[in-house]
Amino acid sequence: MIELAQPARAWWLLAGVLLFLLAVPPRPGRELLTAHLPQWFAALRRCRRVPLRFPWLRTVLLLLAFTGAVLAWCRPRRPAKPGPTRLTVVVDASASLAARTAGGLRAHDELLASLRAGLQRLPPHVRAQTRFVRCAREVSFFDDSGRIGEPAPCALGVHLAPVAAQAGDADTAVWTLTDGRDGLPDVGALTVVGAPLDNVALCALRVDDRWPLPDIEVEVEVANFSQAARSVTLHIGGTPDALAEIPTLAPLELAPGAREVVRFAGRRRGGGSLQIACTVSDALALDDRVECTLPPPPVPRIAVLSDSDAPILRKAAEALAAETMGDVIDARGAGARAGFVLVEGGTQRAEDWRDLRGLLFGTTLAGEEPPEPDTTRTDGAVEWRRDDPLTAGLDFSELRLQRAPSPIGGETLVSMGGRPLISVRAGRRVVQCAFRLTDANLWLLPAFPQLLRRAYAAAHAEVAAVRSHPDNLLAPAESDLRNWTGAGQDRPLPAFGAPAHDLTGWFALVALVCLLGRAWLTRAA
Amino acid sequence: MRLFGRRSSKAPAAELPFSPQFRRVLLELVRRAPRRPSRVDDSGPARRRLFSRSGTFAGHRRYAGGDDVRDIDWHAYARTGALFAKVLQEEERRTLTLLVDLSASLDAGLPPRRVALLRFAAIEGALALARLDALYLVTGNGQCTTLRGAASLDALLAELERAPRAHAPLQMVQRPLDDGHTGLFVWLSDFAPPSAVAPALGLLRRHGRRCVGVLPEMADDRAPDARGVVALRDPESGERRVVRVDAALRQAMAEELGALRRAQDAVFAERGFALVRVPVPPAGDLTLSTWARPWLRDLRARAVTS
Repeated sequence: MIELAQPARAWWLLAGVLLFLLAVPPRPGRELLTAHLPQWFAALRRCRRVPLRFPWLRTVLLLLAFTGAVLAWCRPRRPAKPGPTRLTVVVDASASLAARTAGGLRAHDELLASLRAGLQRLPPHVRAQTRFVRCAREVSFFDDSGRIGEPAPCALGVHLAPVAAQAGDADTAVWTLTDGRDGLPDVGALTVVGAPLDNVALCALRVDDRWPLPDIEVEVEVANFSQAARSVTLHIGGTPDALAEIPTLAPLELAPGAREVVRFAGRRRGGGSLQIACTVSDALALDDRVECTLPPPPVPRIAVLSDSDAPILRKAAEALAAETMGDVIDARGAGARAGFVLVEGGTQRAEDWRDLRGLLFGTTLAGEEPPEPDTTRTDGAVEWRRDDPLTAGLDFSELRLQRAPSPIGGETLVSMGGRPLISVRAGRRVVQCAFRLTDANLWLLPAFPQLLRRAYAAAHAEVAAVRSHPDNLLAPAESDLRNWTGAGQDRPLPAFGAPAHDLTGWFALVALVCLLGRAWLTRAA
Repeated sequence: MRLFGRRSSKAPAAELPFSPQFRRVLLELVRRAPRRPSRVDDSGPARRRLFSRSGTFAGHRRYAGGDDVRDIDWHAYARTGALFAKVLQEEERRTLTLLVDLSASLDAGLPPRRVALLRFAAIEGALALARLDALYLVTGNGQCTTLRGAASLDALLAELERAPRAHAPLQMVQRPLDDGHTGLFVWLSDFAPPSAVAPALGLLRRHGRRCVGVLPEMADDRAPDARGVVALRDPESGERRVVRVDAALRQAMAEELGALRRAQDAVFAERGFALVRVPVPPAGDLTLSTWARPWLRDLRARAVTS
């Protein structure tokens, strides 16, 4: 179907009639029988008159050339075809795509094959953009399906349905390729790969690290997403001296659909990687192993600094050193090399404590504007924050002071009558008490050892945290491959539109070819 | 200019070659024509046998069933192993062999050259029947008919009318030579192209025969009178070509026709024969003077000199 942008110019085709009348080969006035036709030919050659060959074909070629030229002048074009002209491909790269079927082929491989076949069938003018949804992020690129990577060892952080809904518009078609674990989008074309599969997964990992103490307790949840009972054996590995002793776990017998929590305890030796893996033959290997990193054991150098003998403070330091297998050193000789400093009384420069870790009792930090002092009152109700990790679960209600507390800054944890008694500062590396140990009964309270240990742990929180590797932990829905509802859900690509195509050049080319053919006939004759 | 539809190509009604009016002219022409000169006594009736047991040895011909066994040349049989009959010729036997070309190319011209050629052949044949001993009529396919006496005039005209349209020069010549015809050969044709008759003329020359070519000459043989866009068609091959004829092409065509005439004359002259161009009288002109003048003057004179 061809339409003309300037149809009024087509009236010039009528001039073709005049051209035909002028170009039609002349009809002979009469036919003359002659016995001298060779002489006529010789006379024509002598006059250099080449008889025209195919006169009617030459006339037809001339008319075709004229028609082609006029139509080219009318700006012919093939009308635009309605429909989208761009395609956005949303590719699911969740961990479940790595599941292998009975034939050993991954769903991801099937997805790539479908994607390449679909892109090859696209009309040339349709440009395809691929959105590769991997974990919680998208990677977009054009045309090159070879840039699609492997499935990520994590579940999708976004849902494909809204991604597909937002990607399409009137001019853009959407094609989603997924295994359908995350739900199927309602819009656009859809290709669902995969099949129902049996799988055993490690669903959860919990590590209770009592750092700076060496005790560790680990919980691993194992789920059997299979149609049959499975025997699962857990193995503990990782850094060789992460734990003092590697426990051996008994095999598990898991009923279909059952979940079981396996717990084991250990003692930290050097810290490092701790891996728990299950040995079982299943479809998805990505969820058969979990890993975390245990912090190294503390090697504290606890310093004591006081303007007096401070026997209570020294006892507390020695108790803390015994718990953490550290040493008590003289603060005056240790300097900045001390890992934790217990200070009582005196005045310290505030800028020195921006990098130090410690616990201050009745010590004034010079250089900071103290709040208005109230040196008269030593009574009042003690309040403390129950939700703070430092004070949660501790009882400060029996805290009593013999002297009025010193004014302190920072984030208040414990207060008495509105006056701060204990606060944290410098990113919780420093806990400051507004009183000396000898002026209060804090050291007599059961909360004191806990506060001391928590202050130490909070000061080393950056190195004491257990770092788990969430990439190894899939959502149970991602590991449960039994429920596959993709059969018959495929939707084909829509009929793509096409932009209007200008045919002026083609018509002009036809006219030119006709003229050249006519000239060739003349020369060949 | 007519653009659509076919032009009427209806040709004018063909003129009958032997109309009653021509027959009257022919009879009057025969009555007035002079006797053909001869070096022997021609007063006696030509009733003798054409070939007798005595005479000059004229050549051989293939022995055929029914021939007299006394005519067999045993010496030739000894040499070749084939039977040949000796042909003996009486001295100065007065016969005429009339070779009539009736090829399709004679349809050219208005009126067609064929009409004039047939009339010329009728005149020549009628004169021979009246004055000579025998007339051998050879048509284009080589068929030979022997006619004697003025009473055979109707048979001559009938043979000419039903003669086939063919022109095989070698066949036309070979048959009378095989039969031992010794008289004058008169060949009526358009001799186009002249190279087609050259081998046959050479054969006549090798056998010592005399030949005169008669070419009915039309006005178009010297200069074409066509003008404008004309469709030329060769009646023999059917090839057709549309040309635009102007003065330059007519001039070139006149030169080509001159070259053709020279080639025709050369073909005859190189073999010692004469070619007589007899102008074709205008169509419808059947007066005695028109047909007698060129014929009796030119043909007779050239025949004698050849």
